[in-house]
Amino acid sequence: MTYLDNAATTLHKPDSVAEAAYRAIKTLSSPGRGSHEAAARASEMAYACREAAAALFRASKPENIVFCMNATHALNIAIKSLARTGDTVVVSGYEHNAVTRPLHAIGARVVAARAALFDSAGVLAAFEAALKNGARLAIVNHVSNVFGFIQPVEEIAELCRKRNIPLIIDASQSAGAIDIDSDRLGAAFIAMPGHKGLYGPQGTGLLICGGEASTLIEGGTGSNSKDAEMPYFLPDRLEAGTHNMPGIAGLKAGIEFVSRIGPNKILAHERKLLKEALMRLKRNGRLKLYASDRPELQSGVLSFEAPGLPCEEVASRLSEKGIAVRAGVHCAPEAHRSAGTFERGTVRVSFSVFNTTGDAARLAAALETITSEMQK
Amino acid sequence: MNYCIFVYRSLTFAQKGVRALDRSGIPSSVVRPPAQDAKDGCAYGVKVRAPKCAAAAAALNRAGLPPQKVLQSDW
Repeated sequence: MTYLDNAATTLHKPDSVAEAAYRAIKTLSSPGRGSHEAAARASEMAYACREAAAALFRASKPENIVFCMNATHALNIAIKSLARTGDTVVVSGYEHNAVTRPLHAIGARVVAARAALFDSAGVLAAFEAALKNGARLAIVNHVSNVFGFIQPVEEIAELCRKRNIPLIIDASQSAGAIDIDSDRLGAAFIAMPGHKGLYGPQGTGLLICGGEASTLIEGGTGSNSKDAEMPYFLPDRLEAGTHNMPGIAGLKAGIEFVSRIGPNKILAHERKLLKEALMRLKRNGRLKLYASDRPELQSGVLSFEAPGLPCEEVASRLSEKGIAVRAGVHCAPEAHRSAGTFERGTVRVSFSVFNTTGDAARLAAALETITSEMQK
Repeated sequence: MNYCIFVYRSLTFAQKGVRALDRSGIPSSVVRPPAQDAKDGCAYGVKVRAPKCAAAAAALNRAGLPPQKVLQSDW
């Protein structure tokens, strides 16, 4: 199978990830639950994973790295720590449902700082205008999961710092593929999954906390056990219950893999594949491609349509030819509203460090066949 | 007294303490202090051999990790 659905989950992982998860199942119990060897090994693994993440994302405090189930879990903690019913929350026009649904559930007043696709200056101007009107919180999707649009997160962070408005960054598509300096950004929270660009197992995620957090769930932490209240200190405050040690061990191996290569090299590789795919897909002539003419604004994610054929059908036919992509709205209706693809959705191709130019060529050849058949 | 134990509320802070001492060349390990010595239950300690206790205390303070309390222990 040619796997091009890495924006959902990176299927191909380094061998070290699976090996670490396997070893964890065999040898680790739970951090902070017992002083025996298996618990001590688990404690060391958890802390080493926090340290690896803190180093990659330049967070000075490993204890502010909180383990979550996924980015949605991390975003729920972040959003529910900072947003209250009726609060004005400024979001970008490219948010995922992991952001918009918690805000809807809370009853926040959501203001979309909307701009056209790949209009970085427009995004910034929209944020600047929206933040002036009583915003209590800002949230930005670092990279659109639909279009790979890299939003100007550093400039938005600066705007928020100047106005003393807390910022949540959804790094679901950027973590591991774009250099992130969390201390410099000064965001209240940065949320990310473990199973995408960090090449960890599914069921893992991280929340980098820059501010105080409210609990989403309460329970045992292996600390302050005589107190009915959850501990006020991190990471214990946000980590009730037994940890996912196979996941954490695998995630550590994934982070180490990414750190060895470096996010900048990974992004360069994915952009090379994007360029190769675009060069071939443009020759097709029957595809509508959503690509920026400024490569620095796009990650290794490409959306397209084949006019005359529903996106889901394109994905299905590609699947029959052994190529895995994703079609539809990609849980991000706001991104499609901003880009004008809300009614139809798109087909999305997303590369990882394990893809090759051959994968891009196979995609182009398969689409050539599919679109040629359409015309018969 | 053969050891001193620097007590922290959090396992993560105790681990951070071990790393800080390691950088200062002071061997240490994470232990569970007796429950009666942990005001709220389930605390964590950084155990150091007695001759290094003063140096360890200084290193922990330099690292911004002042303990909740320091216990003296024979085992």
